[in-house]
Amino acid sequence: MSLAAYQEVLCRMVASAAYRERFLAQSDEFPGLTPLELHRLRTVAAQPGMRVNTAIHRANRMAPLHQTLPFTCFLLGEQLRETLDRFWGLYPSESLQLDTECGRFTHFLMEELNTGRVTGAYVEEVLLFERACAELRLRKPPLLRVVRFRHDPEPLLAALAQLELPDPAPEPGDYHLAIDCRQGDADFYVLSDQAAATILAPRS
Amino acid sequence: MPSVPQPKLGVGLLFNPVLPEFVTSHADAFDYLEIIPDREWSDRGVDATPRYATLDASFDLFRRVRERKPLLCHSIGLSIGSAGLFDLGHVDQINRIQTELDFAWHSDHLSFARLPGEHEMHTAISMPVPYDQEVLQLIKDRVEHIRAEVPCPFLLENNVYYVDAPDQEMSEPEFLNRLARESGCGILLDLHNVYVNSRNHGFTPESFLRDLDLSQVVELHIAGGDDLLGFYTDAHAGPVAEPVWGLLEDTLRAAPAVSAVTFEFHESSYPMLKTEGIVAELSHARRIWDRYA
Repeated sequence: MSLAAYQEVLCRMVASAAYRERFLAQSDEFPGLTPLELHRLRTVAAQPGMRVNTAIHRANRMAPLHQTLPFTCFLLGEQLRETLDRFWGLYPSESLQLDTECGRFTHFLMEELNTGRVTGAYVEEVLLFERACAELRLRKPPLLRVVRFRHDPEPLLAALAQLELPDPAPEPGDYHLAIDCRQGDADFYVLSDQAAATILAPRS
Repeated sequence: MPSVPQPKLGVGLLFNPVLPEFVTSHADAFDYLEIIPDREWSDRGVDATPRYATLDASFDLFRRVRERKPLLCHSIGLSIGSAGLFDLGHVDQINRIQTELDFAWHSDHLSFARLPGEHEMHTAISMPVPYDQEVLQLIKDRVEHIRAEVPCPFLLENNVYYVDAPDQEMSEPEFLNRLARESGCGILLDLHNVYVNSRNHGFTPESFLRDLDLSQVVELHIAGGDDLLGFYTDAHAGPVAEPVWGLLEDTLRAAPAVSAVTFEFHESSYPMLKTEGIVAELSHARRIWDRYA
């Protein structure tokens, strides 16, 4: 399967400039390649177009996240690039599917928030809100979701819809925002504490 | 291909997420709609059961469009050139939606993007296959399977590439010509890809078109691009690149089997194009189509 080995090296060079540098420095140590394939890979690795491939690879990996988590990406601001570098370093691209990539990134970002590597007053609640919306667009049950907010979600989400930070800051507190798709299109409403407790109570 | 002439469909539009309203309110602006099915389903992975979940809203729209106009299927997920992977489940899924939406034909890209493994890898960019006899045979066998499984014509699209591997056994036109003749697939000729490659790799698009067997071309793609890191890219940014209009005229004049011309743009370009811009690009294409088709 020499062609498969050729394609694997080429793909990994596209995904990682560091891998590309390592290949250029130590290409004799990469197994399974014919002399012609080695020659081709050395040649393309040194071509300036490989930087274009990598830039497009990154932009295309970014697209599903930006499409499904636009408010979260906005809130991450200057942290976004380094966060994505860490995410992509841990998780090689498996799929351009929105749901797969979005779910994996949500899990990763929650860990980053828990360890304090990523910070932001609204990131966690907005991330969980956007993830729930993304799943509901695919009609994933349950079709009634409740997302807990630590700030008043109405002014917060209204500002984010304009890609702005809320000003003044939304009132802190314990809010439960329902996303209800049981009748088709999503309906959003803030629940009372009692209603939230009823919906969130474990079923016996 | 095209041993059986395809119906002349005219000028169409590649669907994207900003287009549902346009498709409904400007149905006279396009003769057919081309869809990227991979963007309209969630693929949970080759080992998942069920593997695919289709987006209800999109398919409801496609069914409504199909009542009045032809649909074409343009997939991005097969990765037909991957040496270690041939995704039979993807072919089955194309067949399932073909049964439902009755495409005039379906297509994918002459490239690879996926690597097999415990954790499959996706390059998120279509990579060129080496134009060698070994690869030609690999892809011919796969085209044979696809044509046996999916009961409508199958086309492969010429790729865009930013690096150029040396010492390939065939040129790109020669590879495409042999693939079409020997496998029975048609050619989806993306004129913008030809233009992009010509600018980045120093040849003339006219020479490419001269070497290509245009009698095998069934569909044309037209689009615009953008500059990145000193290269011109196939970004589908905004209106059709001006030189591509000339290539469209040249190709339609010389390629009698062409049945459809599809305008592609990326949804991020919509603020630049707006509805009027989309209509203008489709009208421009139609004026040329009407002169030669």
